[in-house]
Amino acid sequence: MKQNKTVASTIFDVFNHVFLGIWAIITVLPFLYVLAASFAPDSEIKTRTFFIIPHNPTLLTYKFIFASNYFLRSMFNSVIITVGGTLVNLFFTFTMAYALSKKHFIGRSIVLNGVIFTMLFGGGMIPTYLLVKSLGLLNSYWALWLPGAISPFNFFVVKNFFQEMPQDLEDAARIDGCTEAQVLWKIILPLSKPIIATFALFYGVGHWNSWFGALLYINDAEKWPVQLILRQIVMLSTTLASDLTQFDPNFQPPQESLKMAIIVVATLPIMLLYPWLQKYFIKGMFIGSLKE
Amino acid sequence: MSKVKKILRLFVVSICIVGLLLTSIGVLGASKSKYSFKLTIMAQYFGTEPAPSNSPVILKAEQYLKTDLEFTWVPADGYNDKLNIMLASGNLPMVVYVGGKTASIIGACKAGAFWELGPYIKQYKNLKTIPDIVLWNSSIDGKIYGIPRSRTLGRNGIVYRKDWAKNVGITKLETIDDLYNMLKKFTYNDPDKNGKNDTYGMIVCNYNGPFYITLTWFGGPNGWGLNKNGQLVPSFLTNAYLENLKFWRKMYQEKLFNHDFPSVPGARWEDYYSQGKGGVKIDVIDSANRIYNGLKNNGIIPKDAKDTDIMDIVVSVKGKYGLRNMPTSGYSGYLMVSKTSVKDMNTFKKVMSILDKFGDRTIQDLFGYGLPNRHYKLVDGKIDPIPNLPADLSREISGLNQVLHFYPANGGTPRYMTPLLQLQADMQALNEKLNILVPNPAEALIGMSDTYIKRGVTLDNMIEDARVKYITGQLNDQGFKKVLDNWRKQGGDQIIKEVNALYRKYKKNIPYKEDLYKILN
Repeated sequence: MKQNKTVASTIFDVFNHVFLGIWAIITVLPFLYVLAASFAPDSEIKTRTFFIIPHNPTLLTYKFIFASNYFLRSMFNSVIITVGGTLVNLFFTFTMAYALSKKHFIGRSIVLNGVIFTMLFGGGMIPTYLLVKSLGLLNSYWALWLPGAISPFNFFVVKNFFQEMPQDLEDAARIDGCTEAQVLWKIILPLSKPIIATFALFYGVGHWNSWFGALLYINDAEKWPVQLILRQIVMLSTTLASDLTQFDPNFQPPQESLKMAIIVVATLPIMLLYPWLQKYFIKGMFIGSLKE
Repeated sequence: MSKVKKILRLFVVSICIVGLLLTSIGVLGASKSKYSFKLTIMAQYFGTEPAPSNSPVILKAEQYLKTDLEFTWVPADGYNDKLNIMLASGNLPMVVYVGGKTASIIGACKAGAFWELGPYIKQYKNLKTIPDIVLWNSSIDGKIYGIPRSRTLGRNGIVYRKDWAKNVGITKLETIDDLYNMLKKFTYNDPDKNGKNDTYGMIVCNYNGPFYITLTWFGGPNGWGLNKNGQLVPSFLTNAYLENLKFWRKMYQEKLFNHDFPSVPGARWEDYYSQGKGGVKIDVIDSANRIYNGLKNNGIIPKDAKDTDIMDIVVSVKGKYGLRNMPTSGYSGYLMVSKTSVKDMNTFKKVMSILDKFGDRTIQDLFGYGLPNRHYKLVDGKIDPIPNLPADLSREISGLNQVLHFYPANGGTPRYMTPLLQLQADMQALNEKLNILVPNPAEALIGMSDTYIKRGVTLDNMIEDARVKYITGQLNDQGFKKVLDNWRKQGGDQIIKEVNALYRKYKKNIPYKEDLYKILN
């Protein structure tokens, strides 16, 4: 049954739509500009201030990016880092959270307090580096995956989620002959798809966007992720060059359009993930907040 | 049911495979070895991608040096973070590029993390050509810890649009007044003849170099100078500084340069010139050729315009105290030899002899320009780099010039010169020949002052902020004086004291005469 709208609520709705519409445009415009600028020649970017449609569209920068296998390789590296890292994250977060969601787990509170401790105090950059180095992880992607394998915050969300699952379900499974591991893999995880998808996205985006770990731990330039290269290019064309006498006479800062094209190339894959995961994402966020 | 199992299996297997793959790549990469000696180098690089280890240029260099070269490339903007962390972990490669005298580097040098090169440098045929001034400037605690990477001392000058000067009827640029006059005409007399009032005399950005160059014209010191009482004082405590500030404020008020200068990033600076918006640039001389190329590429000037008809260069302009100019510190970063990975004297000598060979013509050509007919052409026996190389080719030499120290200077095959490039080179040489460069006596001292190490950045920013505010008229004479008083109180006086103590201690090491760095005004 549809309610009759009062004048006030109509005004409110109109205002709401306009406001949110403007807001959406404001959020989307910078992306459009970057996209447009990546197709525009450098001279146009420098002379025009803001545009959505380039006057002289060109594919030059994209040709440049895809002509050398370097960018493609770094993209591929990023994919490996993201996929591998997300799998590691999910495996450790979910197994640990499941175990610790059981109240009969011996020593549970000690472990949980230990996790809380890591949320409050971190070792810092240098001790972490020393740890990674002495574990022999330098120059391998494990250095990017293992030190941050579990995000304590995500861990607690997942743990609470598991705790809220009906105990009867597990009991039924056990009566049917499931072992502990089988309960987790066959009963619990299939029911947790939304929250798995949500955290896969959280972790995945984190891995895709991170560059500092690779800077510190990966010496071999062939293994660098695309974000490190992107950052180098963007930074070169803004801050670094402020002391110009540092540079060689022949040094040319990278082109604006190249910068834009690389931003597009580096952001697109992870943005494409959202539509696929969105339905789980929304569900997952809601389920986390449900109370029995 | 089995689906979950399959996913689980896939999951575990894929983690294992990825892990195995990566570790195996690591192992394979490390086992390559052709020569008995391996030199590991960490250096920064600019641009998009560093040279790969199988680059023919590196292979050729290895062959010449009879040494395996293993580079660790670090993007320039994250270099200090990585360096600090590697210093702390004691995990440095044999040769390390160090960008500047940061507190952590000075600490590491004092703690013995690097070899002191001073006693050995004169034993090597290329390294002994490093000028004493540069060695002194680059010293830490009076000692030489690194091989400086050479930069021309006389690199600064005034670059201007010759075609504009002709259009507004200017024939000479000799004095500060000539320059002021030029700026005025470039701003108001429509030098590009397009009928619009759309040009600036000069473009200024957030980089303070131009201001400090003009400071020397007014008799001010380069950073620090000697006052009448025989004390070293920082430049902003001199009369010349105030006079220079007033000169800049006047130019600002008359709109002779862009009013948005504090927010123009250094990297965009030259863009304005290549769009034909500014006529004079007080900066490194070698920007002339870049501006010319930019103008040509943007179609501002005809494609066939002769470069020396468009751009002209003078080293400096005369003020009350004659011709004076600011030099660079003569180097940009060092190559240091780490003690953690070079443990004994024999290895050290081996490393030094390889670093010495980096100055040989072969290596200077290879790392500077690449391979003939691949990266450059030889024109009359001179190197002419091939422009717009495909990415895969340009990548083969990318970053390699960052490990060159360029000693002896001009040790490589000369570069093919266009008339403008030749003019640039001549003007740089003239700078040094005219003996107008004002040295900075505190260049090597300031980094040793404990107070400067602790508070230097904050204090420097205070002055920098006041400088900009004064020029833009947000601060008057009294306001500026207040900032100076504040600077003194918050550690400035202490820095002056410490620098002077160091000056007395190291005075005999300073390789240039006192009257070169006297404050004239």
